[in-house]
Amino acid sequence: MSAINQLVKMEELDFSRVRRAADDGTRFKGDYDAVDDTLFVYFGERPAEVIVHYLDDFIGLLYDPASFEVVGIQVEAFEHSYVPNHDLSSKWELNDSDRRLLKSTGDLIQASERKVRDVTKEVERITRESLIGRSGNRSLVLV
Amino acid sequence: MDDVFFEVTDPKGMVVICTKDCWHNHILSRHESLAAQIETVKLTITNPTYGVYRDANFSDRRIYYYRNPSYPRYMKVVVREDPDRSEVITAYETDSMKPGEKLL
Repeated sequence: MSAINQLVKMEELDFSRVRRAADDGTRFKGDYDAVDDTLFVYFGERPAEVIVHYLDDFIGLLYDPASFEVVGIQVEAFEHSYVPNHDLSSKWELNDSDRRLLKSTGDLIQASERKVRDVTKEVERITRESLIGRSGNRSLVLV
Repeated sequence: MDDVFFEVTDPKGMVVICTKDCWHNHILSRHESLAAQIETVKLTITNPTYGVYRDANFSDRRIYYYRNPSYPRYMKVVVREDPDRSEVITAYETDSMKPGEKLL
């Protein structure tokens, strides 16, 4: 059986979209898949096709295979591991105040969207630090 | 069962199903390019040319199937293993495996 090799190196990826998003203040968009416990964060519009480039067992960069441009990240085991490991429980979990406001499914959806937005900002910050730390070169990656 | 989108058997004889909800609402809503790759997704489970792997962090429930790439990608299908009904959780394309995955 053939081995699974790394087909693309991180140096081959294009981080210009991330840099632009940081420069012009583009809002990052979060999308949480509860079935797979994965948070997707996109730096602007999501292309129809993306490839995952894993950084570790939890975080993968999402890039467009046509341009190799990094368009987002996915965080696996988000609720299971990432939230507790990054001290995000207070932003992710519902508190008493949130629960008091829940009267309908609409309230629940609103609360979920708000939580995803809040936690996306934190993931964005953590990811920037993480990527900069890995590359050792701020200009190469995000800022 | 009428919620089953497809049912296949992996090389070890385990039956794996994919529900309509999973295919349409979880996989295609986030990886729409896979709409044209349904047969590749099935083949990845029935004939995973790069093998079947277990997740380092979810050893009790997640297994991964890989099939051959068209540069720069491998098809990866994530399955929740269950004695009664193993189910596809998601499928997507990746250029590598995760460091902690172990070949079964």
